[in-house]
This record gives sequence, C-alpha cells and structure tokens, in this order.
Amino acid sequence: MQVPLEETTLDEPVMETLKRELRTIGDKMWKVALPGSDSKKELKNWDLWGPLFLCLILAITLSSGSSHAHGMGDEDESAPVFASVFVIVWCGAAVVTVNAVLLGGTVSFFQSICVLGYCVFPLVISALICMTVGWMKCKKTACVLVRFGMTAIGLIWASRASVGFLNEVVSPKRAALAAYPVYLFYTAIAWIILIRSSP
Amino acid sequence: MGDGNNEIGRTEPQESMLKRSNHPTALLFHVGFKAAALFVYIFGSLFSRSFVVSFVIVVLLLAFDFWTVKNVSGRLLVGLRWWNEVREDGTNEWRFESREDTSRISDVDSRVFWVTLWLMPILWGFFTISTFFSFNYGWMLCCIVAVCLSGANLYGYIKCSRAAKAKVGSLASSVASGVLQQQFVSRFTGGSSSSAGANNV
Repeated sequence: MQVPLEETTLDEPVMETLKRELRTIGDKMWKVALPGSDSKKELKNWDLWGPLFLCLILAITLSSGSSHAHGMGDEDESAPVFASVFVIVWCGAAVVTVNAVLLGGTVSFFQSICVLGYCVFPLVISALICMTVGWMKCKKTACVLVRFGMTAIGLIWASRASVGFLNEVVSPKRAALAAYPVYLFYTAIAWIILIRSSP
Repeated sequence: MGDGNNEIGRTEPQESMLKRSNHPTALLFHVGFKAAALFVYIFGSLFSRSFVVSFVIVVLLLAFDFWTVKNVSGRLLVGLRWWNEVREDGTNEWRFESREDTSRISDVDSRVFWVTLWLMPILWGFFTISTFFSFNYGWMLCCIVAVCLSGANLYGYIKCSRAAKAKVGSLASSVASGVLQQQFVSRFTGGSSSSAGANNV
C-alpha cells in the first residue's frame, strides 16, 4: 500500500482499494522475481497476500498428483501433501526470518516473510511445469532432464533473489549463516516438487 | 391473531436493523464472509469429499473476510483503519486512523462489527482445540489460520480504537487546560481585568 494522506483513505470507494491492492500484489510478484532488483526497497510496503496465493497454488499443484502419479490407489494422499507443503512454506519462512533477526538483521519480521514468500514464485512455475510433465507419464531421459532442469532453475532463481535481500539486511560477516537456511528451505520445496512429479 | 402479531413483532427488528445501518452492503459482507467460512468448515464434507478443495475454499473465504474487515467494513462501519509501515532501519510502525466525527456511525453498525470481531477468534480457537484433541491435524491447520487472521484484525482494531479514544481524551484535556490557563492569566493581570476575564469565560 502506498503511504496515504490523512483523510483520503477513509473515504475512498471500495473498488479503488481493491484495484490498488491487486495492482501492488502483481507488481511485487514481478519485481521480486526479476534478478538484480532491490527487494528491500520494493517490499517496504509488505503484504502477505502474494505469499498466501503462491503457497495455495503450490500446495494445490503438488497435491493434485496423488491419484495417478503413485498408483497406490490411495486418494487420501493429497491431504497430507497439501498440509505439509502449506506448513513447510509458512513455518520454513518463519524459521528463516527468525534466524536472520537473531543474527542481528535490521529487518522486520513480516517484511522478511513477505520477501521469502514472493520468492517462491519461480518454484511455483517449476512445479506447474514439472507436474504437467509428470502427468504425461513419460519416463524418457529427456523428460527426467526437463524436470530436473526446471526445478534447478527455479531453486537457483528463488535462492538468489532471497539471498540478495538478506545480504542487504544482515552484516557481511554473518551473510553465509543467514543464507544457509534459505537454501535449505527452497531445496526442501524443490525436493517435494521432484518427488511429486515423478511418473 | 395473537400469532400474527408476534410474527410481525419478530420480523420488524430484523428489517429495521439493516435500515438503521448506514452501510447495509458493508454490513452484509462483513458478516457474510465469516458465516460462509464457518458454513463450509462445518458442512464442507457434505459437498466435497476432497479435503484440499474444502480447505482452500475456507482459507480463501477467511482471506476475503480479513481483507474486507481490514479495508472496507472497518472504515465504513466504525470509521477506524490500521496498517503497518516499515521504517528505514527495519523497525515496524503500526499506524492508526480514526474518523473525527463519530456522529455518522450508527450503533447497529458498531455493535454488529465489534460482536462479530470478538466472536470469530473465540469460535475458531474453540475449533482448534477440538480438532487437536480429535487428532484431526489437517483441519487444525485450517483453524489455526482462521484464528491468526481473525485475531490479527481484532488486535488491530482494539489498538486502533484505544488510540482513537486517547486522541479524543488528549484533545479534551488540552481544551480544558487551555481554559484553565486563560482563567489563571486573567486573575493575575489585575483586579479590573480579572472580573472582565471571569465574565468572558
């Protein structure tokens, strides 16, 4: 949200507020994902809508592979996968944030979760592509390479965007300590993507 | 005939409740999303066997409710608004905005707003505990999300209304101290003007 004037936001029409919110969410998703962008400045006005939508899309995508991907005939598998992805994304982001704050980072809790959440965007794209490939049930080497490649690209992209943000807020001596959980976090998500999308 | 009279007496207050509200649409949405989320949570298994579908619908309804209460019904129904800003050094600052003129706020709006605001976290908290003890951890996650979202709005608006009351209180006390100062000064500027000053006050 832009910083509003004192009286105007109390009286603006509802559609204006809604449009403004959706526009800022879209902007942030785009800007954070672009490499080389200044995440801290872009996300000074944090919001958790983007992370929520991204997390839901990721969880739905990964849990939708249950009935055909594993052939165990157990349709209830989608529920634990969904819940696990949801918990991993939010608790993982919280743990990484707490770690950064404890290392003396000058970052607000919610802003950091916001950045980590938005940086899941590349992995969401990887998940969609990998699940589509897995749905086609092809076991050729090319398909395996495509899945590994897409997941790796998503992982590297997401990690670089987040670590770039954390480097700005944590002192250089402790940058590696702050970055390590970030890699772990996105690797866990990438791993789930690979497992769930295997035919 | 007696029954007919009772029926009329019962429906009257409901109709006039919406009429007495200044923003009936906002009121309906304020209550509507909350009721819809509860409905889907409680009866979801009747419509869809899939946990994922019901969970997503409930969470989306809770998110819409959060957004509506924070951005729309708060400022329309009770004239309050709260948000968070991050300063350069990374610290949080919670900002509160309140309408100066409270005469346009109807008491129906205010009462419904605060009652539902308090009721939701308590209700979802109760569901969290019950799902915990029935080992239903998937739905417990949903209830935790609900408690967080509704609790955040409750916390924000309580702080906002306290800040608004403090603003009114400090305004009143500054007016009072201004009056006292005037009297004090007029008493010290000599006998003739003191009586004139007393008359003026």
